[in-house]
Amino acid sequence: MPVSTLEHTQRAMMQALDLGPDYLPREMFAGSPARIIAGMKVHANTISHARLVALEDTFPRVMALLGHAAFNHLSREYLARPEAGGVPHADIGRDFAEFLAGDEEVATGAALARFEWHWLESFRAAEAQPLQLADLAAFAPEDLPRVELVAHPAARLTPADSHVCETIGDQLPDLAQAGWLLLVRPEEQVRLVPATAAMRAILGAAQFPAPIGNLLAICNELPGSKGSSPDAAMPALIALIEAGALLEVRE
Amino acid sequence: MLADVNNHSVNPLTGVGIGLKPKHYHLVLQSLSASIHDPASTPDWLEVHPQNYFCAGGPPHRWLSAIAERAPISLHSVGLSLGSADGVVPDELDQLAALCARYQPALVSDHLSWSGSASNRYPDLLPVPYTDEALDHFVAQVGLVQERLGRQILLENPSRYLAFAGDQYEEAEFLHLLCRRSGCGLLFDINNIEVSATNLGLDPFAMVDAIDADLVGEIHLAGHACEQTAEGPLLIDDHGSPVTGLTWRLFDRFIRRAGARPVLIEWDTDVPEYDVLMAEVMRAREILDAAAHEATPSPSAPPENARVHA
Repeated sequence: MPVSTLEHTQRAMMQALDLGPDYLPREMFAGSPARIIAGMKVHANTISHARLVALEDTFPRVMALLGHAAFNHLSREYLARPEAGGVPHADIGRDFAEFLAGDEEVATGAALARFEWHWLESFRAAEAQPLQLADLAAFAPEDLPRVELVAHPAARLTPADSHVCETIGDQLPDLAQAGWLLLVRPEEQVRLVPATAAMRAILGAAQFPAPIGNLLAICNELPGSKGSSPDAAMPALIALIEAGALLEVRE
Repeated sequence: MLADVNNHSVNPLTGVGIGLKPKHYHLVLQSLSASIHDPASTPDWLEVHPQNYFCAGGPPHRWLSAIAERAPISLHSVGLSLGSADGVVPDELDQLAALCARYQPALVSDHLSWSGSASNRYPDLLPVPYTDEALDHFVAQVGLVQERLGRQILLENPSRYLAFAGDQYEEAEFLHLLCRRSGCGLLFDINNIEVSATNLGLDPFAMVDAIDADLVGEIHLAGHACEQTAEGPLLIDDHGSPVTGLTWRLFDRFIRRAGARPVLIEWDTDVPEYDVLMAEVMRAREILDAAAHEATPSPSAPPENARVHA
């Protein structure tokens, strides 16, 4: 199948944008060579600048941790990966935490990057009316185990390593002990709550609708929890409800 | 299908709007919510890049919903990539359609440009050659978008840094044919005229005069950056400064010929304080008012033919 002129033109321009001005077919354009190169550079700079700024805006704390120069260098390496080009601009930072985790020298920034990405996901997730403890009062005690719950669309769990704790730990004194952080946006702003193992287990099980009885029982499966699960499970469920991390599933 | 961008049942916008930025959310909502609107702090309408709202929820949607209840909004897309040889980006169109259904915007627009391919998406508006092949391509893609959205869209003339050697049409001619064949309207960006004319050695006044005013459904005014090169100034369309003197003159010239159109003050980088933006709005209103005043015969003066017979 012959390649159309439009397709040929665009392939050539993409090659020049990705690989540099040496790949620019100058006969394609009118004007002096210097002017053509200058024009092409405007486009190349616009693209590069927009992508770098998107990463800076998404990961301000990682940039503060690593320093601007190192962050800029890593961002350029991240964006140079072949798979980076096909990602929509709004999702450009989606794999940045995994990219950092793969590099021993900067792996310390990975958990912080994961936290910042999860914060953005929570910030722009769908709105939903969270379940409140008062809502459960409408049920007879014997019916409660059958009430179905599901995780709020804005709820995310992320590990809280030392850098995450240093960044936000002064607001959450229990964070270092919990080791994990729940991010959720039941109303306008993202809320941060230390997440215990039982809270993580319940929220993990609530990714799909599940009855309260099953969610409490899931804590039985936690290591070292045999026989003591009711003690850990109920406070965890209450903490998740108070955080706004669960919804009631209604027919 | 012919464009009917100035039929008020199709295009309900009037006056001067601004690009809505997060740092101005509360001031815009405050001005729109006041019991008596202060013109100096109240835009007539707001425009947003829909790509900034391609998410299910969050504070930006809460602000936009509140503002859209009080003033008309326009969606100015930067991501359909209509000129891409691969065709319009499907997920961009799906999300734009969903946003149109949610906010019922007064206008929807995108650009005469392309932004990469399915596997390589560039956050930029790249130029297209003005050829028969590109024209046929745009007519088909605009038709596809208009059919999906169930409405007319406007297409913006580009700011150009490069001219193709194989162009078969002048820019205005290409845009006119596209509008007439697809039924879309024209978003006439007058700053882009200054940028393209300077960069490509063209006459900006002739470019403005060449535009068929009947096709224009909206006007954009913005500032640009200037880089000095060995071959003269290179203007960069960064929307990061006040509208220039030349762009104001070109706007005044067009409005006196065409009559009023919805006007947008665009400012996307180094976004200034709200009062700076609104000062630009007031200046655009003064030009619109002056042109309207000159076009209206004075009540005290008899009509031209009456004077002849008096």
